[in-house]
Amino acid sequence: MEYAIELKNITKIFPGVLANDNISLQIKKGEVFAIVGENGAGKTTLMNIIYGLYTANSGEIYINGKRILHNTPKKAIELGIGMVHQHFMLVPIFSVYENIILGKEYIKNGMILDKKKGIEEVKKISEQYGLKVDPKEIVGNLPVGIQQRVEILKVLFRGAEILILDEPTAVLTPQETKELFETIKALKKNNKTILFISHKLKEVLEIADRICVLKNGKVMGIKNKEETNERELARLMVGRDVVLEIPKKEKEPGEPILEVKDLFIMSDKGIPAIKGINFKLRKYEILGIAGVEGNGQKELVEALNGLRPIYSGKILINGKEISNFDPWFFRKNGFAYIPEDRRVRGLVLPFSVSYNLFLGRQREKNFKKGNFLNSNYIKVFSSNKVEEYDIRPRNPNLKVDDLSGGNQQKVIVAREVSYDPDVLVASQPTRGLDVGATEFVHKKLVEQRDSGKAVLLISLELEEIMMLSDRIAVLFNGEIVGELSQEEATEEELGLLMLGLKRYDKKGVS
Amino acid sequence: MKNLAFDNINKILNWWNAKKEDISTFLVPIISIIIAFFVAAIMIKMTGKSPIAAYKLLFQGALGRSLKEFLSLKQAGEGILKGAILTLTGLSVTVAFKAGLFNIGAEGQFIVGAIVAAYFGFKFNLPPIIGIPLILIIVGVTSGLYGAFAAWLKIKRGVHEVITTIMLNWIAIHLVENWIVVGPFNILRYNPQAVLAGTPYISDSSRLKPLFAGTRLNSSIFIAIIAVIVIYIIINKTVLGYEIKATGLNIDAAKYAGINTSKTMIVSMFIAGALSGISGACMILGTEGRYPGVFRPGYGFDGITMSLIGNTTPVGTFIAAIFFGLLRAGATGMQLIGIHKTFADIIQGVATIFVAGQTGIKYLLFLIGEKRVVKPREAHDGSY
Amino acid sequence: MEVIKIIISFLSSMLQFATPIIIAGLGGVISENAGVTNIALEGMMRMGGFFAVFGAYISSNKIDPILGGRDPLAGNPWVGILLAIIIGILAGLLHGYISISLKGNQIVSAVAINVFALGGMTFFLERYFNTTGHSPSVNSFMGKPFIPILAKIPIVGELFRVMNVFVWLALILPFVVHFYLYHTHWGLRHRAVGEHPKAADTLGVDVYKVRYFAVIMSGVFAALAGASMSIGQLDLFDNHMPAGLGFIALAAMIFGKWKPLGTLLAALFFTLANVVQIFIQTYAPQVLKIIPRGFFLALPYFLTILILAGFVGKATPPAADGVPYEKGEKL
Repeated sequence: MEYAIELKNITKIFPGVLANDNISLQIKKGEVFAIVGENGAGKTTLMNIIYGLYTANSGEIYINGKRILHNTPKKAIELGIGMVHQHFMLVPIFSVYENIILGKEYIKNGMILDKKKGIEEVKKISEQYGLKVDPKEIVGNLPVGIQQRVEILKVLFRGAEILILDEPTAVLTPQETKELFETIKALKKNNKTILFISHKLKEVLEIADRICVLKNGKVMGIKNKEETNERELARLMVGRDVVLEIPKKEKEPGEPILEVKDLFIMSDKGIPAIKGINFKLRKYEILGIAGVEGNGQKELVEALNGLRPIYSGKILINGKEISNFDPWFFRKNGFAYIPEDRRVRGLVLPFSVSYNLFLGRQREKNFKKGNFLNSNYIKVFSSNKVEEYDIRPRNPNLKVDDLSGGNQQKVIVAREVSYDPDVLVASQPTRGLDVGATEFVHKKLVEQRDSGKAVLLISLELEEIMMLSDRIAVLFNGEIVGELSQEEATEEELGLLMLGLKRYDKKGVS
Repeated sequence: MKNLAFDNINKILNWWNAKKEDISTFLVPIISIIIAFFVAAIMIKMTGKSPIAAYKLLFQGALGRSLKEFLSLKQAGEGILKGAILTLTGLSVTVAFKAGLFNIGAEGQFIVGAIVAAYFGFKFNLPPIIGIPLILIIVGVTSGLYGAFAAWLKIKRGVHEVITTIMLNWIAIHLVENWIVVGPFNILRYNPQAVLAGTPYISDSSRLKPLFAGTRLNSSIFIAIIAVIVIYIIINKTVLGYEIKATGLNIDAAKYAGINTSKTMIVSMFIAGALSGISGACMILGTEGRYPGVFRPGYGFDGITMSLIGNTTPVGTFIAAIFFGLLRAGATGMQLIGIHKTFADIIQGVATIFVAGQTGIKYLLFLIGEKRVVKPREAHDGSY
Repeated sequence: MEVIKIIISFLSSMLQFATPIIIAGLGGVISENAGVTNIALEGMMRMGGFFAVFGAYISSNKIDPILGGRDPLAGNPWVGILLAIIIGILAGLLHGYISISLKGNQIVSAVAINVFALGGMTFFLERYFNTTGHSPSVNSFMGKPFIPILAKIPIVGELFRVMNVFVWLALILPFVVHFYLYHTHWGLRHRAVGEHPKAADTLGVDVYKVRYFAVIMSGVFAALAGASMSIGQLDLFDNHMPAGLGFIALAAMIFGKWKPLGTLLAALFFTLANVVQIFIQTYAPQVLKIIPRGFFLALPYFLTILILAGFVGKATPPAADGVPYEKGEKL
């Protein structure tokens, strides 16, 4: 049988990373084929290879039975492959139809852009697939769900027979996700082949015909939907049956340290992203904030950093209201942070490990002597930290950029814990880390809690939240829609809350 | 035996591979300058003149005809003086670079410094030991504020400093040359019989005097050297320097860590402005003696290339500045065979073009390590 | 009648002064809309200015009866334009190669080109004309109306008399560039590359090709702007050229919000300030005692800062302006 896509022994190496390791796949015409895997499993890399954005180091690609050499996006488009990227590839200041026709414009009189024809054609295709859009609307003004629709129309407009959807639900609300699934079904009816990339097992089981699990760049298994279940897929994805439990000491939560009252925060677009949330965080506890990406986590974290001003409400630490929205002020009052993007916010990459270990603390007594850096103390301090946190290689003078991701994260954790904070805000602290480093970070978070700190853990990984948190608050659409203790929390219950299918009374949340 | 040779070659290549990033940083400007001299030689050849003769004159013009003349600094003094002025504007650009800012505004800050120095040099008549430092402080503050304004606009209004500093250059040029110098501070106001354009001469006590007879070299060079040392210490040893570098290398991380990046940027642009201003002051107090009618020596723009060729480090900037200072002075000597002194600009321009395209040079340098690691042939599985 | 004459002469001065600013400003518009900044307009203008004169000079086959050598006035100014275009292409190619292929710093590259142009053109001036002041007068477009018939019309004919080929270009090109950017599919791709190169790339638009085209055209425009000074406004190359007009052009581009018609208006507006100043000097010099010349001259730059800072309106550059594009690898 002729396959829509056939991959043979695809291998892709990035400097220091084996992103795809000898991957072979066969995707049938007209099926919805899902590829699942954790972050960093190599899903996106593989899709970019199929789409010609990357070139594989070795291996063969066949589209409709024909071998493809020197793949480029242009060639992929010609072959009927369309890709909806995780980060939309839309020009925000262009209108919907301009984005759709770009690169395949209608021309009249030899050189003039035929705008009317373009608008008409876009209208036609949007009606054909039941994807409603206004062709003349400026894309930057549209909600995310509609922007995604524009992306799908863009590939359909190019006559795509094979659609690659890269984590399409990551940015969608449940309602939008439902609409997207309707769209996918409609496309399938039109005999389109769909590659659906995700790390959400429920969704995959709902929409896909076959499911391929990737881990560390390798294919762990390909299953028919009917023959598998979440548990099995999860095992393949994570590669172990039980999550390692991290022992926590029995501790009664102490007095509240961080209080958030009626907090409103605006998004970049000036619409409320956090809508009047309240919570308290006590000593000896980890409060997990669960939720689907894009429900206000980013804004909440940035506000707690002092990087984003709040619109209204209060943030109190140790009973004292934060009045100055500047990162240094938060830190001065007892906050420390583990950022989700260590390379952007966490570290100054060209600096040495040693210099990164006291970033932000350079004006503290020990680190300076008059106006000068106290190099003797810094030397001792950083060798101690490198030892204590097992940062490898054990050389504080190395550029932090030359360390592995896990060791870079250790540098951050070492620095932030050494602040001896009252509140540690960890935002997706294990994103993109390997198992060992993840475990290390988890242990450190629990250690902090056990030693009487208050830890706020914001994460998209439900597993992580459930494993570490003493209490779990669920963020949906900018509101806390429920709060559960670790014992009460089940995956099903949290799932319902996260997707907005259920909510507790507002007052129940404290 | 064979293996021993391989070992040695590999030892060198391994060392090169480990260090090539750092070494390339040094090599790029040097290679760029060498290429620039070649390009310039071709241009001289085009004009039908001998590049060798020209470069000989250049060399003699820069350093002197003999060792004795060189040591007397009679010839080299001029180049060192130019180098001192270039050092200061170059450092100005370097300091801004460290904070992640591109100070195209050195020219404007230079002019502000020059006019302020001309004014106070004229007004003050204090003992030089008090008067000159005082003038330099006033100049530093005024030009510093002029520089800091661009940083302020960036922080408060998000305007890119490249554009604002370009605009501020021309604002300074036009306001000084078409208003202050021809209007309120024109020489005719003070001396109606004057036949010169420009501002009145500064008082004798405000002059930076030649260090010895037969040269124009004055204490600007000491000011420049002190500036290099101070900036080196600030950047490498102080808390402020640490903050400046953190801001320049990753402003997001710096801000996140609680560093006041706005303050850091403003302070570094203030220092940058002050250095350019002092450079302008050195020219007025030293060689010019007043603000002439038209005064656009271009040292501010040259500062950018000094900094770039000097790898945006204080010491590198100093070396580049002295080198190009000597080159410029030497180029005057080339006029003997009819090559204009702006010839130095060609070398400077070509060298900077190669520094700008340094990924190309680095690529070639890196090839040395990549391709030539010598391996005794061994069983190979055919894949790559 | 006197008033009309003054108005006509006012307008014709404005057109002449604005011409290089408009053309160079459009060069900036083209380059920056594709995502490559170009603060080398000044240097490119200087090169174009010199080589236009040089072209007009070497195309002369006649021997100067008095001095010997070529008769500079017997050449063909169109050869000058051709040579300016060629040098513009080369300069654009250089800036493009560094900015696009080598992904070097675009500002550094531009600064280097400016420095090189400064020394290089002086060098050539000396080499070919034995002077560092200004070249001899060559056969030029100065005072040659492009459409002579129009110049014969009474009164307004005065205006057409100063409209040589460059002035016409300056008036027509903004509309051509506008048409190109907003009404052709090339323009759509061009702007997409400046706003979101990755998006354009994924749709099969060759980002490098578009950017090279843009930077080369930018060089051509800047060189023509330089030529409009040396063999349009005058008939010689002066070593001071273009005396900062490249930076005014940059300011006009920003003030015109990176749009061709906006740049046209901004250039005219900036010129207005300058021409008003000159007319005041001629007709009412006492005013300059109250408002010094420097204020008029600094006004364009000052306004540009104000508009960028959002104190008057708001100007936002193309989103990917100045950001090198890395093809493929690493999203």
